Amino acid sequence: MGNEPQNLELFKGSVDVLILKTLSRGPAHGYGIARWLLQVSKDALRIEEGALYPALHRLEQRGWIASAWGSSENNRRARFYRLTPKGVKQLERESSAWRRFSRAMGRVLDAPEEIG
Amino acid sequence: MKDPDSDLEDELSFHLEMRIRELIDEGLSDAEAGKEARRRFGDLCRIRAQCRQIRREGETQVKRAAYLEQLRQDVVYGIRQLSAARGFSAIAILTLALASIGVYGVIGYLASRRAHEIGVRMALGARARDVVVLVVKQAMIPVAAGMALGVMGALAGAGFLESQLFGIQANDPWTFLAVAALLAIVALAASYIPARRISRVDPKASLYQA
Repeated sequence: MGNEPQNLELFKGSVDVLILKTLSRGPAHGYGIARWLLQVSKDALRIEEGALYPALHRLEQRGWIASAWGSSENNRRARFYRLTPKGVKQLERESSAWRRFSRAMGRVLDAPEEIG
Repeated sequence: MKDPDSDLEDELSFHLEMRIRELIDEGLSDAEAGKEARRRFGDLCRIRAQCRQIRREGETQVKRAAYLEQLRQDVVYGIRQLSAARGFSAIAILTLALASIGVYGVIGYLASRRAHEIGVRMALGARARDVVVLVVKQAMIPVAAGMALGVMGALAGAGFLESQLFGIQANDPWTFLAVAALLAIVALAASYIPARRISRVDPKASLYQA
Protein backbone atom coordinates (compact mmCIF):
# COMPACT_ATOMS: atom_id res chain seq x y z
CA MET A 1 0.00 0.00 0.00
CA GLY A 2 3.03 2.22 0.38
CA ASN A 3 3.42 2.69 -3.35
CA GLU A 4 -0.18 3.76 -3.94
CA PRO A 5 0.27 7.54 -4.22
CA GLN A 6 2.90 7.10 -6.93
CA ASN A 7 0.57 4.95 -8.99
CA LEU A 8 -2.14 7.54 -8.59
CA GLU A 9 0.04 10.31 -9.98
CA LEU A 10 1.13 8.20 -12.93
CA PHE A 11 -2.46 7.32 -13.60
CA LYS A 12 -3.72 10.87 -14.01
CA GLY A 13 -2.16 11.47 -17.40
CA SER A 14 -2.86 8.02 -18.75
CA VAL A 15 -6.44 7.36 -17.66
CA ASP A 16 -7.87 8.32 -21.06
CA VAL A 17 -5.77 5.92 -23.05
CA LEU A 18 -6.33 3.11 -20.51
CA ILE A 19 -10.09 3.53 -20.80
CA LEU A 20 -9.97 3.58 -24.60
CA LYS A 21 -7.81 0.47 -24.62
CA THR A 22 -10.18 -1.35 -22.25
CA LEU A 23 -13.18 -0.46 -24.39
CA SER A 24 -11.44 -1.59 -27.58
CA ARG A 25 -12.13 -5.13 -26.32
CA GLY A 26 -15.87 -4.47 -26.24
CA PRO A 27 -18.49 -2.47 -24.32
CA ALA A 28 -18.10 -2.31 -20.55
CA HIS A 29 -19.46 -0.46 -17.52
CA GLY A 30 -17.23 1.58 -15.23
CA TYR A 31 -16.80 -1.23 -12.74
CA GLY A 32 -15.85 -3.65 -15.49
CA ILE A 33 -13.20 -1.22 -16.72
CA ALA A 34 -11.74 -0.84 -13.21
CA ARG A 35 -11.65 -4.61 -12.71
CA TRP A 36 -10.03 -5.35 -16.05
CA LEU A 37 -7.33 -2.72 -15.51
CA LEU A 38 -6.45 -4.16 -12.10
CA GLN A 39 -6.40 -7.69 -13.46
CA VAL A 40 -4.27 -6.97 -16.54
CA SER A 41 -1.82 -4.71 -14.74
CA LYS A 42 -1.52 -7.31 -11.94
CA ASP A 43 -2.74 -4.73 -9.41
CA ALA A 44 -0.01 -2.25 -10.38
CA LEU A 45 -2.61 0.26 -11.62
CA ARG A 46 -4.43 0.35 -8.32
CA ILE A 47 -6.11 3.71 -8.62
CA GLU A 48 -8.97 5.64 -7.14
CA GLU A 49 -11.72 3.78 -8.93
CA GLY A 50 -14.04 6.78 -8.79
CA ALA A 51 -11.61 8.81 -10.90
CA LEU A 52 -12.69 6.72 -13.88
CA TYR A 53 -16.09 8.41 -14.00
CA PRO A 54 -15.12 12.04 -14.67
CA ALA A 55 -12.75 10.66 -17.31
CA LEU A 56 -15.49 8.51 -18.88
CA HIS A 57 -17.86 11.46 -19.07
CA ARG A 58 -15.20 13.68 -20.58
CA LEU A 59 -14.33 11.09 -23.22
CA GLU A 60 -18.02 10.72 -24.04
CA GLN A 61 -18.32 14.46 -24.64
CA ARG A 62 -15.34 14.42 -26.96
CA GLY A 63 -17.18 11.76 -28.95
CA TRP A 64 -14.52 9.08 -28.43
CA ILE A 65 -16.88 6.81 -26.51
CA ALA A 66 -20.68 6.49 -26.34
CA SER A 67 -22.87 5.16 -23.56
CA ALA A 68 -26.18 3.39 -23.20
CA TRP A 69 -28.04 1.93 -20.24
CA GLY A 70 -28.30 -1.81 -20.19
CA SER A 71 -28.45 -4.57 -17.67
CA SER A 72 -25.36 -6.00 -16.02
CA GLU A 73 -24.31 -9.66 -15.57
CA ASN A 74 -26.42 -9.76 -12.39
CA ASN A 75 -29.39 -7.97 -14.00
CA ARG A 76 -28.74 -4.58 -12.48
CA ARG A 77 -29.29 -1.37 -14.45
CA ALA A 78 -25.81 -0.26 -15.52
CA ARG A 79 -24.34 2.26 -17.92
CA PHE A 80 -22.28 0.62 -20.64
CA TYR A 81 -19.64 2.47 -22.60
CA ARG A 82 -18.36 1.55 -26.02
CA LEU A 83 -15.68 2.91 -28.34
CA THR A 84 -16.80 5.07 -31.30
CA PRO A 85 -14.91 5.10 -34.64
CA LYS A 86 -13.40 8.44 -33.57
CA GLY A 87 -12.30 6.73 -30.35
CA VAL A 88 -10.57 3.95 -32.27
CA LYS A 89 -8.45 6.52 -34.12
CA GLN A 90 -7.75 8.38 -30.87
CA LEU A 91 -6.60 5.15 -29.23
CA GLU A 92 -4.16 4.51 -32.08
CA ARG A 93 -2.73 8.03 -31.78
CA GLU A 94 -2.46 7.96 -28.00
CA SER A 95 -1.01 4.50 -27.68
CA SER A 96 1.75 5.20 -30.18
CA ALA A 97 2.54 8.45 -28.32
CA TRP A 98 2.69 6.53 -25.03
CA ARG A 99 4.95 3.85 -26.48
CA ARG A 100 7.37 6.46 -27.81
CA PHE A 101 7.32 8.21 -24.44
CA SER A 102 7.93 5.08 -22.40
CA ARG A 103 10.75 3.95 -24.72
CA ALA A 104 12.40 7.35 -24.33
CA MET A 105 11.99 7.22 -20.54
CA GLY A 106 13.47 3.72 -20.52
CA ARG A 107 16.51 4.81 -22.53
CA VAL A 108 17.18 7.69 -20.16
CA LEU A 109 16.69 5.66 -16.99
CA ASP A 110 18.80 2.75 -18.29
CA ALA A 111 21.65 4.99 -19.42
CA PRO A 112 24.99 4.16 -17.77
CA GLU A 113 25.73 6.42 -14.85
CA GLU A 114 29.30 7.24 -15.79
CA ILE A 115 29.93 9.34 -18.85
CA GLY A 116 32.68 8.36 -21.25
CA MET B 1 -34.51 9.63 -20.37
CA LYS B 2 -34.11 9.98 -16.62
CA ASP B 3 -32.82 13.08 -14.91
CA PRO B 4 -29.01 13.17 -15.41
CA ASP B 5 -28.27 13.68 -11.70
CA SER B 6 -30.10 10.52 -10.68
CA ASP B 7 -28.44 8.67 -13.60
CA LEU B 8 -25.09 9.71 -12.14
CA GLU B 9 -26.11 8.50 -8.67
CA ASP B 10 -27.19 5.16 -10.14
CA GLU B 11 -23.93 4.81 -12.01
CA LEU B 12 -21.72 5.56 -9.01
CA SER B 13 -23.71 3.43 -6.55
CA PHE B 14 -23.73 0.52 -9.01
CA HIS B 15 -19.94 0.59 -8.93
CA LEU B 16 -19.79 0.67 -5.11
CA GLU B 17 -22.29 -2.15 -4.76
CA MET B 18 -20.42 -4.34 -7.25
CA ARG B 19 -17.16 -3.74 -5.42
CA ILE B 20 -18.72 -4.48 -2.02
CA ARG B 21 -20.22 -7.71 -3.33
CA GLU B 22 -16.86 -8.84 -4.67
CA LEU B 23 -15.06 -7.99 -1.42
CA ILE B 24 -17.66 -9.97 0.55
CA ASP B 25 -17.06 -12.91 -1.80
CA GLU B 26 -13.36 -12.58 -0.99
CA GLY B 27 -14.25 -13.07 2.68
CA LEU B 28 -14.59 -9.58 4.14
CA SER B 29 -17.43 -8.79 6.54
CA ASP B 30 -20.21 -6.47 5.32
CA ALA B 31 -18.87 -3.51 7.29
CA GLU B 32 -15.26 -4.05 6.21
CA ALA B 33 -16.28 -4.49 2.59
CA GLY B 34 -18.24 -1.22 2.62
CA LYS B 35 -15.32 0.65 4.13
CA GLU B 36 -12.78 -0.84 1.75
CA ALA B 37 -14.99 -0.19 -1.31
CA ARG B 38 -15.37 3.47 -0.40
CA ARG B 39 -11.64 3.78 0.25
CA ARG B 40 -10.84 2.36 -3.17
CA PHE B 41 -13.44 4.55 -4.83
CA GLY B 42 -12.05 7.82 -3.50
CA ASP B 43 -13.90 10.96 -2.45
CA LEU B 44 -17.48 10.41 -3.63
CA CYS B 45 -18.49 14.07 -3.23
CA ARG B 46 -15.54 15.32 -5.25
CA ILE B 47 -16.08 12.78 -8.02
CA ARG B 48 -19.79 13.59 -8.19
CA ALA B 49 -18.99 17.32 -8.44
CA GLN B 50 -16.42 16.72 -11.19
CA CYS B 51 -18.90 14.68 -13.23
CA ARG B 52 -21.56 17.39 -12.96
CA GLN B 53 -19.06 20.07 -13.91
CA ILE B 54 -18.08 18.12 -17.02
CA ARG B 55 -21.73 17.74 -18.01
CA ARG B 56 -22.40 21.47 -17.55
CA GLU B 57 -19.41 22.38 -19.70
CA GLY B 58 -20.66 20.00 -22.37
CA GLU B 59 -24.10 21.60 -22.34
CA THR B 60 -22.59 25.07 -22.69
CA GLN B 61 -20.58 23.91 -25.67
CA VAL B 62 -23.64 22.41 -27.32
CA LYS B 63 -25.52 25.70 -26.84
CA ARG B 64 -22.62 27.69 -28.26
CA ALA B 65 -22.41 25.40 -31.28
CA ALA B 66 -26.17 25.77 -31.85
CA TYR B 67 -25.87 29.56 -31.65
CA LEU B 68 -22.99 29.61 -34.16
CA GLU B 69 -24.94 27.34 -36.50
CA GLN B 70 -27.95 29.69 -36.28
CA LEU B 71 -25.70 32.64 -37.03
CA ARG B 72 -24.19 30.86 -40.02
CA GLN B 73 -27.62 30.07 -41.42
CA ASP B 74 -28.70 33.69 -40.97
CA VAL B 75 -25.65 34.93 -42.83
CA VAL B 76 -26.18 32.43 -45.66
CA TYR B 77 -29.84 33.44 -45.84
CA GLY B 78 -28.91 37.13 -45.86
CA ILE B 79 -26.41 36.68 -48.67
CA ARG B 80 -28.91 34.66 -50.67
CA GLN B 81 -31.54 37.37 -50.24
CA LEU B 82 -29.06 40.04 -51.31
CA SER B 83 -28.04 38.11 -54.41
CA ALA B 84 -31.68 37.40 -55.27
CA ALA B 85 -32.34 41.15 -55.61
CA ARG B 86 -29.07 42.29 -57.14
CA GLY B 87 -30.21 45.72 -58.33
CA PHE B 88 -31.75 46.54 -54.98
CA SER B 89 -28.65 45.31 -53.08
CA ALA B 90 -26.30 47.24 -55.35
CA ILE B 91 -28.20 50.46 -54.72
CA ALA B 92 -28.22 49.84 -50.95
CA ILE B 93 -24.48 49.10 -50.80
CA LEU B 94 -23.66 52.02 -53.08
CA THR B 95 -25.77 54.37 -50.93
CA LEU B 96 -24.05 53.25 -47.75
CA ALA B 97 -20.63 53.59 -49.39
CA LEU B 98 -21.46 57.10 -50.66
CA ALA B 99 -22.71 58.10 -47.21
CA SER B 100 -19.49 56.79 -45.62
CA ILE B 101 -17.27 58.56 -48.15
CA GLY B 102 -19.27 61.76 -47.72
CA VAL B 103 -19.05 61.70 -43.94
CA TYR B 104 -15.35 60.88 -44.08
CA GLY B 105 -14.69 63.72 -46.54
CA VAL B 106 -16.58 66.42 -44.69
CA ILE B 107 -15.45 65.50 -41.17
CA GLY B 108 -11.88 64.92 -42.29
CA TYR B 109 -11.80 68.27 -44.09
CA LEU B 110 -13.19 70.15 -41.07
CA ALA B 111 -10.64 68.49 -38.77
CA SER B 112 -7.67 69.13 -41.05
CA ARG B 113 -8.65 72.82 -41.43
CA ARG B 114 -7.91 73.22 -37.76
CA ALA B 115 -4.17 72.69 -38.26
CA HIS B 116 -3.36 76.33 -37.55
CA GLU B 117 -5.50 76.46 -34.41
CA ILE B 118 -4.02 73.19 -33.17
CA GLY B 119 -0.55 74.60 -33.76
CA VAL B 120 -1.41 77.62 -31.59
CA ARG B 121 -2.84 75.42 -28.84
CA MET B 122 0.24 73.24 -28.84
CA ALA B 123 2.60 76.19 -28.92
CA LEU B 124 0.78 77.39 -25.79
CA GLY B 125 1.41 74.02 -24.13
CA ALA B 126 -1.57 71.78 -24.94
CA ARG B 127 -0.62 68.13 -25.00
CA ALA B 128 -1.13 66.11 -28.20
CA ARG B 129 -3.62 63.85 -26.46
CA ASP B 130 -5.82 66.74 -25.26
CA VAL B 131 -5.85 68.22 -28.73
CA VAL B 132 -6.91 64.97 -30.38
CA VAL B 133 -9.68 64.43 -27.81
CA LEU B 134 -10.93 67.99 -28.35
CA VAL B 135 -11.04 67.73 -32.14
CA VAL B 136 -12.76 64.32 -32.12
CA LYS B 137 -15.31 65.46 -29.52
CA GLN B 138 -16.25 68.58 -31.44
CA ALA B 139 -16.50 66.64 -34.69
CA MET B 140 -19.06 64.36 -33.05
CA ILE B 141 -21.56 67.23 -32.55
CA PRO B 142 -22.60 67.54 -36.22
CA VAL B 143 -22.31 63.77 -36.56
CA ALA B 144 -24.84 63.23 -33.74
CA ALA B 145 -27.18 65.81 -35.24
CA GLY B 146 -26.86 64.17 -38.64
CA MET B 147 -27.56 60.77 -37.18
CA ALA B 148 -30.72 62.01 -35.46
CA LEU B 149 -31.94 63.53 -38.73
CA GLY B 150 -30.95 60.39 -40.62
CA VAL B 151 -32.88 58.09 -38.28
CA MET B 152 -35.98 60.26 -38.55
CA GLY B 153 -35.72 60.36 -42.33
CA ALA B 154 -35.16 56.62 -42.52
CA LEU B 155 -38.15 55.91 -40.28
CA ALA B 156 -40.31 58.15 -42.44
CA GLY B 157 -39.08 56.52 -45.65
CA ALA B 158 -39.11 52.96 -44.37
CA GLY B 159 -42.74 52.49 -45.34
CA PHE B 160 -41.82 52.66 -49.02
CA LEU B 161 -39.37 49.74 -48.61
CA GLU B 162 -41.77 47.42 -46.86
CA SER B 163 -42.90 45.79 -50.12
CA GLN B 164 -39.28 44.96 -51.06
CA LEU B 165 -38.40 43.14 -47.83
CA PHE B 166 -39.01 39.57 -46.70
CA GLY B 167 -38.46 38.21 -43.22
CA ILE B 168 -37.45 41.57 -41.80
CA GLN B 169 -39.24 44.78 -40.77
CA ALA B 170 -38.44 47.97 -42.66
CA ASN B 171 -37.71 49.67 -39.32
CA ASP B 172 -35.64 46.78 -37.92
CA PRO B 173 -33.82 48.27 -34.89
CA TRP B 174 -30.61 46.24 -35.43
CA THR B 175 -30.29 47.46 -39.00
CA PHE B 176 -30.69 51.06 -37.85
CA LEU B 177 -28.13 50.52 -35.11
CA ALA B 178 -25.65 48.84 -37.46
CA VAL B 179 -25.85 51.61 -40.06
CA ALA B 180 -25.54 54.31 -37.39
CA ALA B 181 -22.57 52.49 -35.83
CA LEU B 182 -20.82 52.17 -39.19
CA LEU B 183 -21.20 55.88 -39.94
CA ALA B 184 -20.14 56.79 -36.39
CA ILE B 185 -16.96 54.71 -36.78
CA VAL B 186 -16.26 56.38 -40.12
CA ALA B 187 -16.73 59.81 -38.52
CA LEU B 188 -14.48 58.91 -35.58
CA ALA B 189 -11.74 57.76 -37.92
CA ALA B 190 -12.22 60.84 -40.13
CA SER B 191 -11.61 63.21 -37.21
CA TYR B 192 -9.07 61.13 -35.29
CA ILE B 193 -6.65 60.44 -38.13
CA PRO B 194 -6.05 64.09 -39.25
CA ALA B 195 -6.11 65.31 -35.62
CA ARG B 196 -3.39 62.88 -34.65
CA ARG B 197 -1.31 63.75 -37.71
CA ILE B 198 -1.52 67.47 -36.99
CA SER B 199 -0.79 67.03 -33.30
CA ARG B 200 2.49 65.34 -34.22
CA VAL B 201 3.72 68.11 -36.49
CA ASP B 202 6.04 70.66 -34.94
CA PRO B 203 3.79 73.56 -33.80
CA LYS B 204 6.09 76.07 -35.49
CA ALA B 205 5.58 74.46 -38.90
CA SER B 206 1.78 74.71 -38.69
CA LEU B 207 2.03 78.33 -37.47
CA TYR B 208 4.12 79.42 -40.45
CA GLN B 209 1.88 77.51 -42.84
CA ALA B 210 -1.11 79.71 -42.09
